[in-house]
Amino acid sequence: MKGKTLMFVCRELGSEDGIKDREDIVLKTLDCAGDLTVFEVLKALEEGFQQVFVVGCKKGTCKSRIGNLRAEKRMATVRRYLGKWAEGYRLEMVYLNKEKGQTLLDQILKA
Amino acid sequence: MKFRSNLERVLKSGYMAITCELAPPKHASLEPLKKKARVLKGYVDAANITDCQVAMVRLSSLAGCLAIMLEGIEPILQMTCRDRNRIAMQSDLLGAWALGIRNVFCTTGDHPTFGDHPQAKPVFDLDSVQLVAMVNQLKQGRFLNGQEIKGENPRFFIGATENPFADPSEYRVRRLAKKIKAGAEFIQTQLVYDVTKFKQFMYIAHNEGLTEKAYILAGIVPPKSFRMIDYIKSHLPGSCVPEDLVKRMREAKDPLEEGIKIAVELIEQIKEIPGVKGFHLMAIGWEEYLPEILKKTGFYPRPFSQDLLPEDTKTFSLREQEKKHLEEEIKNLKEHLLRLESLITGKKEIKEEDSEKVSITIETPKEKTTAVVEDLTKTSPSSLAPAKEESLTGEKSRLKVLYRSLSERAKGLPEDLYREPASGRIREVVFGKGDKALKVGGAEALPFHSFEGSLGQPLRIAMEVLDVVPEDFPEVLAKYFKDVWDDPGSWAKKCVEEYGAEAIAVYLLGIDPNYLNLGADHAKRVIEKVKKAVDVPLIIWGCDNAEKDTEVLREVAEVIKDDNILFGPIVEDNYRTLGAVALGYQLPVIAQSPIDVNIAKQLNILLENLGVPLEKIIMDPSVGALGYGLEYTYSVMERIRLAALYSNDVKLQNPFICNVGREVWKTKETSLPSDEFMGEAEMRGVMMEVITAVSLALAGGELFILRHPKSLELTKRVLNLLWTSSEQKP
Amino acid sequence: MVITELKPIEKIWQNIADFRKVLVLGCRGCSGICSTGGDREVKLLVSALNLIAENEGKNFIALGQTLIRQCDPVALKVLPEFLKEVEAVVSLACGVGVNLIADLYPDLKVYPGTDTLFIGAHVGFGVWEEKCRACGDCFIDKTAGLCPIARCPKGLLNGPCGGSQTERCEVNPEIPCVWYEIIIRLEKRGELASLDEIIGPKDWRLTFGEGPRKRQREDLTF
Repeated sequence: MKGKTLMFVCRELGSEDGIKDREDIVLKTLDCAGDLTVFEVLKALEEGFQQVFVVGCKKGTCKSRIGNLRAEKRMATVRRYLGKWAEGYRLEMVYLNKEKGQTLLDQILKA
Repeated sequence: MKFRSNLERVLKSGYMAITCELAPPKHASLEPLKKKARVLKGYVDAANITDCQVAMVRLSSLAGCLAIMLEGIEPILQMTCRDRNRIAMQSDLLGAWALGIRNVFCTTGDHPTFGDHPQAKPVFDLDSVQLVAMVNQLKQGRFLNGQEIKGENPRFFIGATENPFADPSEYRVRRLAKKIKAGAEFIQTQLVYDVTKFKQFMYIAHNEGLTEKAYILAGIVPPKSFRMIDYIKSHLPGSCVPEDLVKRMREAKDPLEEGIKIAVELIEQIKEIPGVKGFHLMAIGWEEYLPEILKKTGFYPRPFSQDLLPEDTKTFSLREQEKKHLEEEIKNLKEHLLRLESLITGKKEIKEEDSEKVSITIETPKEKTTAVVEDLTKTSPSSLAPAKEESLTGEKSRLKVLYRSLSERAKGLPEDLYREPASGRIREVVFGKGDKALKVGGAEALPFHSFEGSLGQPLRIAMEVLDVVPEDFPEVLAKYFKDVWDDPGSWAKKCVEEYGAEAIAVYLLGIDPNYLNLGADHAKRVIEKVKKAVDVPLIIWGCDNAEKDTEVLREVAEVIKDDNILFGPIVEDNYRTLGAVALGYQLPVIAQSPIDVNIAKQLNILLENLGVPLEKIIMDPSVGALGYGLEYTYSVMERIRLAALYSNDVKLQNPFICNVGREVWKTKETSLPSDEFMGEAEMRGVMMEVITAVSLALAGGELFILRHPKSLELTKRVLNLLWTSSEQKP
Repeated sequence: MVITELKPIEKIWQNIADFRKVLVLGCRGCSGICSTGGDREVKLLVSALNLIAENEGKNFIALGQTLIRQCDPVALKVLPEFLKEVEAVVSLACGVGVNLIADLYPDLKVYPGTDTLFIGAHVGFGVWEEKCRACGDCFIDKTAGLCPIARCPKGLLNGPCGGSQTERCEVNPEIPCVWYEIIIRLEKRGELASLDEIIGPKDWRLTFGEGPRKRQREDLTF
């Protein structure tokens, strides 16, 4: 991992101490991943974040039904606005299955 | 009538037309098209040259048309609306006409996205209906803008297409009507696999009168492989392929063979559908199989194919030596004809100057020096029979001298060039009872082609007896029967005993509702009389009014049931009742069709379905006298016989009866008096009757009904000569 | 409305990469309504362009403004107020906006930020379909209000073609065959016979004209 990381995390998934301690990761909690806007992501990149993760619930478990899927489409729109320059950033959608004991950090480190 | 194109000529002459589709190559050479044309020459009446089909770039249709025209196939210029606007299209149409192209086929065309240049701008300035209307307007001498064409205007034979299977199917006929209204003269439908659905389409079109206004050719694509039919089913928009057909192709051991079989079956089925005037074969790259399909379905040879060849290629091309041989033979043939003429008429032979070249010496007939008509009247009835025998054997022996075997005449030519044995056989039908019963049919070859197979039973000639005193017999005919014609029995007796009739046809003219409208009792009485008077087989012929015939013949059957008497005519309108009568009494019947191959076959099928065995059916193709449609009858009989023998069409393998006398003796020419211009009246009538009968014998006729005693004698003599000479095998 | 779509960002950037200050100009007309060039999209494009400039190491700044429409000189009157130090404008209106800006401000460099697609309607969330081709000679009174020029790939005036099956278009099975629909509707109305009349060739001058077409309403001109 290089540079600063921003994480948009669905409130349902709770927060993790392991992340809070790390200086290179900023955590933003959303009521639902679907609340994410394209503009927010672009703004974050303008502010200097190199990596933006959106963490939503496992498919089918979103409390607003398709908030998580919507978030993924918004990330795609971000990529479209950046064209080939999107490659310079890490823009990812992560579906997290809490029940399986997956942790945010695992996911990010694994990726 | 002057025809613009061969296709028009074929269709307007009443034939079913055969067209096919040829795709130009995707490169700049005409060779592939010419090659295909050589394969199909003589098998099709015209060929469509596609206009960048499926929106793929190919050599232009116009150039392709020219190429096949030079090869002897008439082209149909295909024109789509996809690539040209109205200016370019009219320009091409003017050019095509100037180059001698006479048929044009208008279609909207596939969208460019289907093709190899999907980026192309689709033009579609006009649609197909508007294009048809535009070509029609050019024909009227106006450009699309209404301006007059000053000079030659293109008068194309206009074609269009329709897909009977596309949605909404109910609207398809209306759109067809729209195209016909716009000026379409012939229609080539999209490919037909679903006969039932096509039948519905044709049924509506027929009812709407559209089949009268335009010639509809059914589109046939012979399936080549399972992959192909599967592709058509799933990829070709607007096609309709029945599941069992796909299954047949999937399970076929030899898909190619199966494909041909399917195509033949489709054609056989579709040609029975009323209003279908021909077939458009789209063989998509395997044109070489079309000849086989066309032969199997009896569509080969084509009616006017010889006229299509360019002048210099019309003669049969052979090596020099073979040419000489042929020339020699033609000269011999001419001499043979002269001799034949002298034998028949008794006239002195005119010797040609170079006749000494021919190695055979000719005997000049001893007796007959005057015209046969006079000669025969002098012969007393009692002495006629033996004299006839003698003269015939005399002729035979002379002919034996004259006759040169086929192998001799055809030496130097490979046998398969002139010998084409048939695959079918004509049924033998028996009528009459006991040892006087007559058998007709049985041929395994075309008439008098004994070098190709057995000719079957000898040809038979019946004479006609009327149930009432005839009113319209010309004097030259009436004089032979006046003494007996108020009694059908004596009349029949005279025909048999004096004139040598082999059968008697009783013509129930008196029952005609438009004439005397006599009843069944009258008919029964007449038949009883004739039956009592003669022992030759009888033929009972109704008054040609379907309803009245049903009524009378049904009752007459009781009188004739034990004598196996031939009766009819049975037509489409009364086949049920009369067919049932025939079935009930096991009688042979005459099935009459109005000079139409399809109806003839249909009627045979209907009767067979009813239970009447085909072995009991003699076909009456309806006869036209010389000068009154003889050639029409001739060609229909020829087509039936070719289908029966060479396509092995089992539903057409029946003998023909030709009711010649009645047709001939009602013509104007037979009742005109003798004068310098028209010649001697009796000779004229007799010759008309004989020529009609002999011509129909050449077309395949087996049983003839004649009126004039001399016609009978002369016809018998000519047929005997042809028969005897042809019976000597090479 | 006129349906537009954002051009690929690379193409937009190509035109303006060498300027230092660029105005992204939105339009609240059709373009805004079909979510191509309204306030929200202007904000996004400005942000994206600035990010790209940063990546490319350019001394560049993008600004954003949105007008109520760009196809009217009255609405464009305010444009000069936003042009301080601006070297070029990227318009997110349809092609009409770009043209009119170019007409009115000959010295201003204006570039299209969208591709103008067609005249269409919003038929479902995020979906627009073409309904009219502005042929200049409307004849859909004869076709149950459905336009075969716009909605049949071959633009048949006497359809349907021989390819329609299961009510779909043979060229594009995604769409229904408009001629199928026309016929079904006319049949229901009992007006199918009106189609028996052949619709004659179209006068394409009304579509392609002699150069740009012009409409003039006499009572409004001076």
